[in-house]
Amino acid sequence: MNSSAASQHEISEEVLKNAQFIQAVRDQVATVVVGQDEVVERLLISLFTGGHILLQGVPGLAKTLLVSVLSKSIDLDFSRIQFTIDLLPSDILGSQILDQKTNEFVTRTGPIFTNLLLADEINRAAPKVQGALLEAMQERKVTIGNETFPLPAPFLVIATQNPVEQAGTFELPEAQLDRFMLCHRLDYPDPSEEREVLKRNMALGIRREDRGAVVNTEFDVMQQQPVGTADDLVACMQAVNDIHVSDTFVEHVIEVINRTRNHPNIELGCSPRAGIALVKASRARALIQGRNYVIPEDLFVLAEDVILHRIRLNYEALADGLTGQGVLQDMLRDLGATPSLVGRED
Amino acid sequence: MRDRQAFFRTLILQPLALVLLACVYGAAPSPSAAAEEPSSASVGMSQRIEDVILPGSELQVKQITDDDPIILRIVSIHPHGPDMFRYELEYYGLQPGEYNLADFLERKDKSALGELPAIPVRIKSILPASRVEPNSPSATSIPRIGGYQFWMTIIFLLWTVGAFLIVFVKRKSANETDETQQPPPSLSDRLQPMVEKAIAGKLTQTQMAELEMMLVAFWRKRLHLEQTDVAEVTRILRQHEEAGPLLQQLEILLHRPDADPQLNSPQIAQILEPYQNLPADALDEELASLAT
Repeated sequence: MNSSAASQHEISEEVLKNAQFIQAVRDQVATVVVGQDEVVERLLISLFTGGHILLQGVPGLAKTLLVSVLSKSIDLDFSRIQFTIDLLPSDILGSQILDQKTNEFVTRTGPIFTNLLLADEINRAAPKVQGALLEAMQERKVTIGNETFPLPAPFLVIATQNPVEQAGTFELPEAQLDRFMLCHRLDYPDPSEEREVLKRNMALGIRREDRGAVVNTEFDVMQQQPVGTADDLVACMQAVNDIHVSDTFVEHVIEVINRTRNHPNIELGCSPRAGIALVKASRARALIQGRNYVIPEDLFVLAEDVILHRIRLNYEALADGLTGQGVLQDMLRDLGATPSLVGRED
Repeated sequence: MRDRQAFFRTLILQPLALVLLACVYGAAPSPSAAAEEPSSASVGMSQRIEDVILPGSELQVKQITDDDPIILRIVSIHPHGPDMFRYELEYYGLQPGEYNLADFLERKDKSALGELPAIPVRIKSILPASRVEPNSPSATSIPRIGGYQFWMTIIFLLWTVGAFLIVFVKRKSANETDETQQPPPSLSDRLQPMVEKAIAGKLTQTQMAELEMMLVAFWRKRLHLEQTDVAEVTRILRQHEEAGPLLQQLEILLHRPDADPQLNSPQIAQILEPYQNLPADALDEELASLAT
């Protein structure tokens, strides 16, 4: 056990540097956004692994504020695009316009050229706009006219979907959902958090402007001072890459992915990309939790965010009123309780 | 040439002229034709007489009374030479008998009718004299639906036999399947040999991973956390006084960078010792049913 203790000591020192930065970011976010620790953790996981994230939740849960304060904390560029039915791919990517002075076409890049892109209500845009964004997410480069431009690094898309208003929307198909590493469902704050939100909102005050005054918003009182640099971010990304993944953990991931493909209630199981995402996200969570190795808890905590948007229930399950969340939870409970689906080597 | 003309006149023109004459004669109206062959009709059925040429000024139908046995109507009137008119008449009889339509006419200028040729008509009755109403239609029997009944009976019998066969065959095959298939081993059945093999250091990586999950499932059932969110379960188990140390030691042995299960067999044996002689009833029925 002495060797373990020694290694644990080394782990603490290695992880400590990154842990301080991560905690500073979380504290900075907490000064503006109440609660939502889970979402902040998921955003950091996405940021450290370069995987895009889809947030599902009703309006008013401070999604924009959250992403905005996160970008300010790490000194990253931030853009927000409100997706609407009449949005065009060129509105996101950019286009070539004619300069009348020089009589030449000049490329004007779109809002996608940023570090953090909040694609608000992505399901409101037409499929070709969604396709353009998702292609850029995958390729990390954009072609305008005949020129190809690389997107800045880091580049992270935080898309949102409103699960309530579905009229006149274009639901993202499974193949496109698969491009999001995580899909996190935001919940309403609990009463104590709600109380804190209201108290903070009442304390925002007003400020003089021109000949009158305007009521301050959370954006106005947000600290603009970053708590970390790009180097800190790169260090975290590197640390995530160094997180140890045991063979046992890999077996757990294979088991979970296999069960989604063989489950009687699931029509479309997980792609290999889901397994990759599960390992990546687990590594990032391990770092955020102050470990340099992953454990089954990481898998269980992240399973819904990684798997749920990648599976599709079959007709019988839907007719029986089952939900993806319920089926996934049952499947995870079956791990160990029922024989493994992965071939044994006796 | 003359002979040919004579031949043509004799053989072609003369017979043709005779045929034409005969046609014209036959088609020409004859005032006396109506008188010779009286028009006839059934009671209530209208009949029409054309080209009736009557002398004198123009005629019209008299005022009809309730007792009149004939209803007459002049369809059209045309002048026919000096002081004559050609009429088209339509009539229908209400009572059987023989009548003269001229009796139902009068001069339009109210002058005396004078001598008019008779326009005889005969109204016949289809019914016998004693009958005033036609026979009621004879009652016929409803056509039999024997074909329909026959086929419906056949279909019902086939359906009954088919349903019986399906139920019988399905039940039989289900019984056969039940007999051939063994129920999957329960968690308690699987845990014991896995623990023994782990202590002996004979487990593969996949089996070791399964054993770890089996121990989580075991404690979840033992602490009645079946309906709790799986992520929450692992957090609870880590804080539990018995399950916590087990999971932490497994974590050290299986997941840390310097872990090597092969080298740490004594430690594995030490950790799993409490589960080595686990009585079968240590897992409740719920646990067994979950495994099945």
